[in-house]
This record gives sequence, structure tokens and C-alpha cells, in this order.
Amino acid sequence: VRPFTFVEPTSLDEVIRLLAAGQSQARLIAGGSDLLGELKDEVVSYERLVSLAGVEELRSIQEESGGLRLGALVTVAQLEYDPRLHGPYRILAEAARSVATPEIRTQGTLGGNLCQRPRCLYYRHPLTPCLKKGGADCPACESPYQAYLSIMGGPGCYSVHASDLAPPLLALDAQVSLAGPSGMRALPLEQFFAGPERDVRRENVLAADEVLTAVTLPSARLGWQGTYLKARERTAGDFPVVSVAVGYALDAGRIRQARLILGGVAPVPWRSPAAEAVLEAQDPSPALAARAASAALADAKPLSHNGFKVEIGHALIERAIMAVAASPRGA
Amino acid sequence: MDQELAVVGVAVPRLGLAAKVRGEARYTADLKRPGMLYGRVLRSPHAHARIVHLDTAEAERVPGVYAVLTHRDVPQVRIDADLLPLEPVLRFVGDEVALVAAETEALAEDALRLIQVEYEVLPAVFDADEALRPGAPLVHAQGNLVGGKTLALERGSVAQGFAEAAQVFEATFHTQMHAPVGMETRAALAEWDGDRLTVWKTSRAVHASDRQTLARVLGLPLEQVRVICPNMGGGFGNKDEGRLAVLVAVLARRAGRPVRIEYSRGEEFVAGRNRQEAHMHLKIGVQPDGTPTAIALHATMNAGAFVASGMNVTRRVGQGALYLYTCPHARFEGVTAYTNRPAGGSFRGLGAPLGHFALEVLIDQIAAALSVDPLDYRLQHHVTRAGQPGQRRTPSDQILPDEPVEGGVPFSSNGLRECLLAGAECIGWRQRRQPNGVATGMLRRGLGLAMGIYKGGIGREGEAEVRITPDGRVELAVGGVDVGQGSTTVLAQIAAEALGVPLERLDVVMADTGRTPPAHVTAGSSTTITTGAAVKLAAEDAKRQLLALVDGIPQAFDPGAVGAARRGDIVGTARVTSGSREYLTNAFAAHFAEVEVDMRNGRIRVLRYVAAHDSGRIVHPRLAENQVSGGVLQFLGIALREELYLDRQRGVTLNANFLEHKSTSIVDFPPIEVLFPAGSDPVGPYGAKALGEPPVVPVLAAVANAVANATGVWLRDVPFTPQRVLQAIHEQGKGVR
Repeated sequence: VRPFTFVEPTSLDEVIRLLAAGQSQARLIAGGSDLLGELKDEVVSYERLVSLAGVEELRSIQEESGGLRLGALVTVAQLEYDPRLHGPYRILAEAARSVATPEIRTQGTLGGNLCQRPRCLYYRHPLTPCLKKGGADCPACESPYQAYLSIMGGPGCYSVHASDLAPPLLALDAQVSLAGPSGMRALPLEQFFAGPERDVRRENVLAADEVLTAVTLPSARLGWQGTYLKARERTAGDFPVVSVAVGYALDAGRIRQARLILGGVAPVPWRSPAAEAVLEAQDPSPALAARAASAALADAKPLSHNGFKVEIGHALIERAIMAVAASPRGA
Repeated sequence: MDQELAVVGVAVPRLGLAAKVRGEARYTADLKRPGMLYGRVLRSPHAHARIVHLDTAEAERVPGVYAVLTHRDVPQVRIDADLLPLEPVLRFVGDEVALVAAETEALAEDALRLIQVEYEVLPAVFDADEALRPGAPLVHAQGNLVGGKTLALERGSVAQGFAEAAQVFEATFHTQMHAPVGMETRAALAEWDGDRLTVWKTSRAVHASDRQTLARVLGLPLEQVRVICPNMGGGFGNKDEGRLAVLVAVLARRAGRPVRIEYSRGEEFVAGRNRQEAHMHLKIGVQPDGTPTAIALHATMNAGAFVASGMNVTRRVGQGALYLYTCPHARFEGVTAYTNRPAGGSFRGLGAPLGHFALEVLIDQIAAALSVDPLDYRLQHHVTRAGQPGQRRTPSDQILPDEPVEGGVPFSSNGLRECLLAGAECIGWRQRRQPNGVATGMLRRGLGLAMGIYKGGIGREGEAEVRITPDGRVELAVGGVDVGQGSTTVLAQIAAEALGVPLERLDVVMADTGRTPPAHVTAGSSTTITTGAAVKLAAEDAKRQLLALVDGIPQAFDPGAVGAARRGDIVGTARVTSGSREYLTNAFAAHFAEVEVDMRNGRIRVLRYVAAHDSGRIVHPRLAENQVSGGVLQFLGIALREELYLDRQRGVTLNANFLEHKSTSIVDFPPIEVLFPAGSDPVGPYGAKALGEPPVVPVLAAVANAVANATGVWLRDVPFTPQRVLQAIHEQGKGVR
């Protein structure tokens, strides 16, 4: 780890001021479970870390206009256990339970999970070139180790967004609140993520002096249920090889408000409007599930060594669709 | 029925357990000496390079930095045949360039950044076959073929055996480079007192490796070097290399203060010793009824930049093929190549699990082709107590080698049949579906089995000293290391049994060259059988002296008699070469796995595991059970997911950390049942045989064979990741939608 100064302001304004003053040499730190790894491996270095830990108002989960407001410092473990995440929101608790290990869930935050950097082995190793590190070359797309790389193309960068929380949050139509020097802005979570075509060095639209402060979930849709399935190499402490968040309501046996988002397959969490359209207004059945899976993966362009992810994706999507059909429908 | 013993065979509380549970046990990296500095290592960013310019001036000027060490400052004396302490040529990414000793680790690390190195990057080679081609970049000047030749071992004539075969089966297999992942990383602390040196180190060989190497390389008389290994947090066949001890000693001398170096986890993965990658081709000829007529195995091993254990890893690849099945003609050929990868070395089981993987999978394939139950096939063809057919070659007055090639020699004991039957009973083998691949649906279950044969420590020298003090205490001193397997307890049990005293009377001293007689490397599953034999004899020697002293045979033997007789200590000593002139002594095992395979996800779940072992009489049932289940756990991870990923352009190890190296966590482990159905052995002390490594030998094949039973798909490439499983399902035409 290269030396840095650590500052712990107690207000959001101060955090933003310190970030802005630090230019590119300051970085926000919340739980640190991602950033400390990058620092220790000397993938990145900063002169100043600005801790968000002192900003108490970001720690809570609040009921708000029929929905929920989740502060950016809410830990993954809180999401796992909070009694308010039931009914339609249960998918988020389910996904939280699949994150990393209990220790990391206790330390890691919601905001940090959404802002996590890619897990690509070439990004994470200080001795290998990578477009995200300003290099001219992407050795990952030639490597035999592609289980955790994109099957939806890059372009240029084939790292994937590994968040387990993003797919269910997208399924719940979440919004994010961003605070910056010129005030607050809110945008749909879907617009928060940005692939390499926008800026290969970043995964979202957050500016260097902006802070993700909260995620807002709209009021629960009646009878809507979702599930999150995650394929991985080991059961604990692993990122998704492929994951899927699927949810819908059933209206007289017909699917309504279908949502289908894949994780671990593209540089951004990958929502499939095509698959959602296949599901909408249909009776859930294995044949329908298979059609939806095909629609979701129709555009897949796997690399030379990760075509198997398409196959796993098919199985996972079909199973998730049928699991939602079988789940009990309460409020 | 074995004779009942008082202490041997009893699961007594493990010695030193309370201190470990309370967190009081001290490991090398816990130790501090007055004025101690912290050392860090600068490592090569290139797979193959020559240092053309090296400037340490700036690093040396940092306040708090006491010494900087480069190849210019170390003795140019070889540690191993292929290894100097530091060299201007670097052979893998992570190879040692320079060292710094400073007041804190952070200071030392900052100083490393100030060392300026200019490298001439040399062409590198990472693949064993490429390394052996003419014109390949030379990793070492003498050539990339380790030892300069192919290792070839043959019994009978495989040419004749294949000519006699009705059918020949063959297949190629691959096993990955993987790491032992001891929880404790390597560490060493050196302190000089004038020209006397003390080194505390994570070690498997304080006498045979570290002390000898230090004295030789530093030009010191042996008696001026003392090496101590405190508690070890995982040996697994690693940590015997001398480089770290030499470098920390030179660094401490230069700094004029004690210095301690502790590897980071990343360094442990890269600069430790890993299992060599193996490509294997196996060919078995059989008669119409399946009886093997010839077995021929060829292996190409990728040793990386250095070989710490000579050809031993390679030699062990052949063990199963040469000896597990009764067969007059068997041959093993192994070539070992230097490449610009992190160094290979010894790791629990050496090459044996690799060769057994190929052998036991192809045997299952033969059984399937002949419509024979693989259990029945093994019951019929496994090597028996009579050993292999053929002529004995070892002169009759010599102790037999424990890694046999020749026929005509019986085993001292062979419990393969007992292991097969007990394991099959326990897992419910007769419910196994036949033939392979008849299961349907998305989740398919199957049962598989594999056997193992392993030599253990025979033919080595063991020494022990048993001291009875006037106050009636007994002190047992042996130079080996308790690498975490519990040998302190087991050797104390043997001494207590031989003396006829309660275990509480004993103190055990191990792994300190200042206080123990010389010892071999703690390796090859040899401690119980070889050191144990010496302990038994030394205890009997002490007892004899004591009985002579008290003039006759007392009612109850009492070490307190020493005090009563007003004499000094009684010291019993023994030095033995273990083994026998009549028999081979090997350990045996049969493992059984039940798996469930997700045909669309490619995911294997191991549901149950049964490991039946013949390790002779079991000295400590609970430790033995832990030894087996631990070995199985370690290799289930290696079977299913663990691998070191190497970037083939730069030679960088991409996943040298616990997150990306997928060491299995406890949630992925199945229940493991451990059985010891065989009895006592006539050669080993109290009938014991080897146990340390045998548990890892059959695991890869047991899992692969269970997958074949569930799916009809043969896995020949380890680890069996979802990617490889799906690929095999498709290549072998078993895909489902």
C-alpha cells in the first residue's frame, strides 16, 4: 500500500468539498472491502481517502412515500436481515445473502456494492496491462481464464459488473440519489451504470466529486415476486459467473410487470427488455421460460473461452422464471 | 486381533492443544527479538530477465533502513543444484531481486520502491513441451530438461505385455498447477551472536535442510548454526527450501540486528512451492477378461524455474501405474522441464495423486467397456500381499526400497481388499446404478471409487533420544518437525508405551537443532514409521538401563527410581534405518464419492465421501481421522476448482490471493467418513504404517469416476470446473436441454 492520508468528515457537504479539492487524487471510501484490495495490490493509489463513515444520515433504511429509501452506508448484512425487505422486496434480501462472505457483508455497503470496480484478473494485477488502467492492450480477451468476463461484448473492455445487488434493484425499478457540488440529482439506477463505450476507465456516471447517497425503491407492486439465482464456482466468497434477477406479478395467471436482469455477463448489469416482452401477458411455463431465456441471450457474443456462460445463463433464467411462478403470493 | 496396548491406539488429548485453542501457541511470525528489524523482498516483474543496472543508494539513505541486499552481497554458493541465494538473472515473475531490512515493514516496503533496477528482458517459456523443443529459451544454462534425461522405470517388458493384450485402452490426462495454501505463510527470523547464528523458521527440515544449507552457504561450522521451528501452521510438503533462511541470515548480518521476514499471501502463492502441472498419457493392455497385461504411463512435468525436490515429484507420478494392479509388465517415463513459471516443488503426495488420477479413471473406463462393476474389477486385479510377479532385484541382504518397481517381493501387509469392502459397504455401493450414465434429469447422482498405494518413509534414518531425569520426568527429543499433523503426540504415545509410563510424565522436544539429534526432512509420510521406530528403540534402551540400575525387575516400572538411585540422567538413544529386507511396506486406501452433477450448470456437488485406509495400526484414532478428512478436503478443492492462473504472455500469476484462488470454504465440503478396516503391520513400530500423504492420493479419480457414473462423461482435465464439465458433456455427446 502506498501512503495516503485518511480523512473522516461528519457531513456530506464536507465530504463533497474534500473530494472536489482532492481532484483525481482523492477517493471516497465507505466499507473499503473493494478499495482496500485495490490499494494493497497497488492497482490504484490515492493521496487522500475521504471516509463516508461519519455521515450518519446515510446509514438508515426508511419507509418513504410508499416505498423504501436505503442509505448508501446500509450494509449488505442489513439488507439481508431487515424485516422491511419482504414481499416484492424480498429479492433484494435474497441477493444480499449471496454476496461474498458474512464478514464482508457486515463491512460492505450498498453504495460500495453498486460502485465496485471490475474483478477482471488483468485489471486487478499490477503487472498486467488493462484499458481500465490506461493501458493500450486487453490481454483478458485472449486469456483462457474467461469465466468471469463478458458474453455481451465490450466494446474494448470485457470485464463484467459483478454486483449481486444491482440486478434485483433494477428489477425493483430503483432510483439512485447523487450528491455533488451543485446539489442533488436523482436518476434511474439503469442510467447510473455506463459501459466502456462511454468511458472505458469507469463503470458508471458518478463524477469524481459526487457521492451516491441513497437508493430509492418505489412502492411495492401488488403481487409482484422475484428471485435471484447466482451460478458461481464456490458457494461462499465468489462473484457471479452468471446471475439473474427475475420477477413478475401474476394477474389471473398471466405474467405482468416482468423484469429480467442478468449479472456477471456484461460491463453493466444487463436488463433484457426482449425477454421481458416475451414473458409479458403469458402464462408461466417451461416452454415460455426457455423462449424468454433465448430472447435474453440472443445477442450473446461470447469470447473464445466463455461460451459455457451462455449455456449456464439459459439454465439459470429458465429456473428463475419457474421458481417465481412457484413462489407463494402474499401482499 | 491386534494386541491391546495402553497408550498406542488411544485418542489421548493432543499435546499443545490448549495453547493453540487459547491463542498462546507461537508461530515464527509471532516471534520478536530485541532490536529486530523487518525484511521485505523486491521481486522480479519479468518472467525472464537479466539485471543490467541496480542502484540501491536511495533506498539505503532512508532513515530506519539498515541494510539492502542484492546479488552482489550474497555468497555465490548453491543452495540447491539449480539455485543460488540471489542472481543477476531472474527466472519467474516473483523471483528475488533484492531485500531490505528496516525498522518497520512499511518502511521496508517504501524502501523497496526506491531501488532502481534496469532489466534486460529475455525470452521466456511457460509450457513444458515448448521448453523441451530445440531452440527454446534456456531457463538454466545446462538445459531445460531437468536432470538431463528422461526418468524411466520398467518391470518386465511392456512391449511384450502390449503384444499379449487382446485390447489396449489409452487416454491423455492433465492436472493443473495448484498451491498447498498453508494458513501460515513462510517466515524466518535470523539473529547473530558474534559468529553464531540462530534462525527460527517455518520449516520441515531444521537439521537436514536449513542447518546444513546455512552452514554450507555461509561457510560456518555446523555447530555454530542453530535452527528452530516453532509451531507450524501447515507444512503440506512445503517450506523445506533453504533460500529464505540464507537470505534472512545474510540480511541480519549486514544489518547488525535480528531480522524477520514474513511472506504476504501473494508471495506465498508465487514464491512458495506449488504442484507441478502434469500432462500424462496412459496406456493399458488387457486380456479379454480384463486382466492387465501391460501398463505404460508417460508424464511431462512443468517444474517451473527451480525444482526443490529433485525428481521425486516426477518419480511419484509412476507409483500407481507401476504397482497398484497385478501386472507383469509396467513402465513409467517422466520428463521434467524447467520453465519460467513460479517454482514447483514437493507438496503432499508429490506426483502420486496425478498418476493415480490417470490410472484410476482409465481403469474405470476399462471396467465400463467390459461391463464389469469397477469394484469387482479392482477386487479381482488389485495388487495383493504377494506383490508383483517377477524377479527380485534388490540383493537379499538389503532393505527393500519402498517405492518399488521390481516384482518378486511380498508386502508386509496389504489391506486393499479390506478397504474396498468396508468402503463399499459404508457408501452403499451395491445401490450404484449401472451402467454409467443411465441417470436422467437435470441433476444426476452417481457413485465412484478409486484406490491408492503409497510408500511411507521406509529406508530412511531416524534418530531419537529418551532422557529420564532423577525426578522421574521423561524427555523425548527428536529432530523432526510437527508440521501440524500431530506427530508430537504420536511420538510421545510411542515412547510412553515402550516405557510403560503415563503420557503425563513426558515432555517432547522437536525441531530444534540445539536440543535434538539429527533428523531427515519431515517428508514422505515417514515420521510415525521411521522416527517412531527410533523413539520406540530409544525408549526401550532407556528402560533397559533403568532396569539394570535398580538391579532387577521391580513390581511396577518407575522412572522415579533414577532419583532413588541418586544418579544423573539416564539417556536412551537409537538410530535406525526403517524398513525390511523381506517385505515392501506401503500404505493403501480406497475412496468412495457420491456426487450430484447439474447437467446444465456443469456444477458438481460432492454429497458424501468415504475414505478407507490401511495405515497399519492407528496410533491415535482422532488425529488419524483428521489427517484423512483434511487430506480429502484439500484435494476435493483441487479436484473441483483450485488452480493457479498463469498469464502466458508475461508469466504473471493472476490469482495469487484467497479471493481469486478458489480455495474451498467449509460450506462446500461434504460429510467425510473415515474407516481403518485393516490391522497391524509387522514392520512398522507397533504395527503402524504411513498416513500423512495417502489420504490425498485417490481423491481426484474418485470424484471423476463418480461423475462418470452419474453422467457417462469422463473428466480428464483437473480441476473439474463448470466450464470443463460442460465442455466434456458436449464433447462426449451427453448434452441435455
